[in-house]
Amino acid sequence: MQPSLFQRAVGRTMHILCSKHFQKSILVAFFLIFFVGILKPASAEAIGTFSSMQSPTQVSISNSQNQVAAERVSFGDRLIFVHLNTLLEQFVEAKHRVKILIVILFVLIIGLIVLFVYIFLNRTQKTAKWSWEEKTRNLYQTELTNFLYSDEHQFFEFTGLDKAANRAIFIDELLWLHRNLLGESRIKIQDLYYNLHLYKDSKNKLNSPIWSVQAKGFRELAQVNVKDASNRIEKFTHSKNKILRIEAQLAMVKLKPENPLGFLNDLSYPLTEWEQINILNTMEAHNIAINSFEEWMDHTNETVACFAIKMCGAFNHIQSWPKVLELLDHESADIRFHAINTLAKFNFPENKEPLKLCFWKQVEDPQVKSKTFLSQKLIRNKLAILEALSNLVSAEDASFYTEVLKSPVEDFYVLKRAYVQLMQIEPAMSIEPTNPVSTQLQKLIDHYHPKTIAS
Amino acid sequence: MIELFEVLKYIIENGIIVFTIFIFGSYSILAVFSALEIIQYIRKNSFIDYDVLLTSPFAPSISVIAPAFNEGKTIVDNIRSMLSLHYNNFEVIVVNDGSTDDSMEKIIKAFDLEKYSVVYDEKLQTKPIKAIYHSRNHAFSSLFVIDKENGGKADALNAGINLSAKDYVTIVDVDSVLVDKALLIMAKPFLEETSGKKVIATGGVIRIANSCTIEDGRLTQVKLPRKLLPKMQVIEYTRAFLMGRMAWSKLNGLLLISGAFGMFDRDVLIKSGGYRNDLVGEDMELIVRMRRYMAERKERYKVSYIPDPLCWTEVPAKLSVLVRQRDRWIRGTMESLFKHFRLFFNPKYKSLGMLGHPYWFFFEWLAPILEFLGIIYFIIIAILGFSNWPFFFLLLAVVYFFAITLSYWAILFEELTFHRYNKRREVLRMMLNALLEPIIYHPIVLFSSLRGNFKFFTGEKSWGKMERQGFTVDEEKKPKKSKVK
Repeated sequence: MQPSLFQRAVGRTMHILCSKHFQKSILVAFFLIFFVGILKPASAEAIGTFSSMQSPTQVSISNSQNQVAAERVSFGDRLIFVHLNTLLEQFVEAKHRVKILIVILFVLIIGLIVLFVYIFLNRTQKTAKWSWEEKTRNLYQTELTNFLYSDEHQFFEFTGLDKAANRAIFIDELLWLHRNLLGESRIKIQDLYYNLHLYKDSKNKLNSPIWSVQAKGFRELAQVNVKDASNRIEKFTHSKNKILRIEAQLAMVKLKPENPLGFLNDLSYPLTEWEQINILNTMEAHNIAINSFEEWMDHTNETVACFAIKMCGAFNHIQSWPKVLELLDHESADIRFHAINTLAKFNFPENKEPLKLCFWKQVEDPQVKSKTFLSQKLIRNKLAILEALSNLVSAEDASFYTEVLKSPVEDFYVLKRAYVQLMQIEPAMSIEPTNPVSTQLQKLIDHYHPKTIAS
Repeated sequence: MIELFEVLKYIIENGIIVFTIFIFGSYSILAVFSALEIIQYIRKNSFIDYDVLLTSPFAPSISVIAPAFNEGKTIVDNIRSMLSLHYNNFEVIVVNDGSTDDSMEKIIKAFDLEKYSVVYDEKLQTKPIKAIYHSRNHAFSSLFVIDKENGGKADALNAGINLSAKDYVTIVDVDSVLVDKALLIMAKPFLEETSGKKVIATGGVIRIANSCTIEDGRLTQVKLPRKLLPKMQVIEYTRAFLMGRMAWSKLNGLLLISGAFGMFDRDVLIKSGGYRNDLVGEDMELIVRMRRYMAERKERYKVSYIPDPLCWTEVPAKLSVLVRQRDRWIRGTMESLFKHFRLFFNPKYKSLGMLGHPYWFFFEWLAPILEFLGIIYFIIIAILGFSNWPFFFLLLAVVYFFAITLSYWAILFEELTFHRYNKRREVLRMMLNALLEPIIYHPIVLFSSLRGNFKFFTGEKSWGKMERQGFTVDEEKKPKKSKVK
């Protein structure tokens, strides 16, 4: 459906109103009007003409040239000139602190007016821009729907794609459909993206000096699977800019199925949990499989190693079990924690003894440099071990749990977990609390009820 | 004698000017910092898909703790609203702090609660717990209700923290309305911490819900308040949250996370002692103490701040309530500053000691007192006939225009970022209100501050009654849709 002449005129007007050039022109015009209005009286001619005046009634014009000039000036203007002149004289004679205050006041008033105008211009611009965007978006939604249900794809024409702004909205709409459609319709959308050479727009974004534009380019190219862009995107996986780095990493996961996590090999920046969640989400959403995560489990970047161990559990890579088991002895408490959780997911009976051993190794090692919240991490690890053992408990474990309850463990929840598991296997066993949190343990013993404790 | 008077006059007048310049300078610097931070945040945020957390097995667990005292009017709707927050791994702990109305009966009935026996670690001392409730209905399985003896907000929060066993705790005022994605957005800074720099808390912006439309405990339409005082507070909140706190977050010097909405690392919160029950400004004091705890252990840490409008709450529309609230706030500030006076220009505490604490000391606590003394001084000078009227008016004009400029900056930030008031008329009204604020609203705040100071030094510790209209008005006629008056 072609837009009418009126619609085009409105669209064009909105486009002009939205443009930054228009906004700048308005601001410049405003400044010019403002400053000319203020500074005109301060011009040399005016100052010279009225230099002897003290008040409007004392106006005396000395020569005919000045008389002519004065006649050209209205009474209102004279009033302004005289007051301005008086003010200027007072300003020159004023003390420094007064001068400073006057300058500050002047700057504040100008700034305030500029802010007022800018807020309104910005609001007008935004309203016009949104209105135009909505109309254009609706137009393209209709056209794309017609395209999807049309049989004559090669003859289909879309409105206004010669303009970059229209194309940007068109690409947005196209990619939105690409995300939300499946099967043949999705392929049609992808073909359209290629046939209209829209990938050139997306690729051009990679050359932008603005990182947000570059990142948008990564997203678009990754979504429509423009594989030849991967070489250009890859270098950004080590960018100093965090968002650019994440977007590039996510794009690489999609564009390089043969080695989606290759960028991890020499990643020196910490891979935050947020990044890890996003990578996992992208891999799951696009069914991207990795044969093994083991190569990154010994990475010098600890966050990458943790990620590899977590992913091993998330993708149930049981073939990596021996490697994960080895990591129970790792010096880093965080790596041990993720290894414990991954083993818990595997839930092999063979895990039991190594986990029990690992429990007793959760003590502060003077050799370990990183002490950040180490005691909390060690307690967290102990809880994770007990959680991992919860599905593997059997009668022969009673001595382990009794030992835990008698040991100088200082955390209530570790004791609680151990006590619950002990009661599962030896409900009749009585425990004499001897450790520092014995009051709580006594309370636990007194209130023991399977339903209560399970919570 | 006259010479001595002249010297004194010179010192006082120039002292006032120097102090004013420092205040102007610091506000201007904060405005620049917050502008930089907010621009970065908005740009980055356009690439964030918070929904990835909804399905992720790596998402951290969160306890939402909401203390309630005599909130029977709205409590059921508000709990429903909290339970419907978009997050996968969370529980809601409502703490009924000895309400004398029918709050507890209403909750038990609405959510089909039964008594629940649980043994947990009471690391923080609280008033006795009467009972803990959990729902028989599986749909409300993430809801826990603690019924306890009245002990104040801090005590109720501590009871909730004791019961919580999740990674992070979110503190919410039960009468506030959270947007659906609030937890997803607040959790993100914790997931972005890099090795060696722990995120101990995240604060959120509090927006004003007066006159907004609330349906089923959810905000559906944002409107500028109709009444004068809430309208003025919109300007004040915008300035404080979008300019002040954003900049302090950039400088890692944030000393306050509003008690109405904040997320904390549970471990650090408990280790630093939880909320103190003997204070009126427990929210600020907690952050100062948590930061101090980290600094004293030489741990690198960060207090994050999210500028998105995630939490909407009702503000006082009555003068007397507003004065009581502000008087309590200033007492809270003073408690935190004086209890932790050791931080004052103490390089050991880095930005907290060298920047945050002194700033609050001089510009948040001392400024209203100096302003008042300035007024008294001017009155004396005027009576004695020594006043320099042109200079007085000039200084007054500078201060007035600076205050308005700051408010306009804040409105501009709002316009460029979240743009919640989408009618042009509303923006115009905000700008007009900004012109009136220094004349009408500021004297009220100044008076409240002085009253708070007086009460603090005379040892009064009352909280003051905070009357709320409640979101659900005319419940029988309009059970689903309501407006806050």
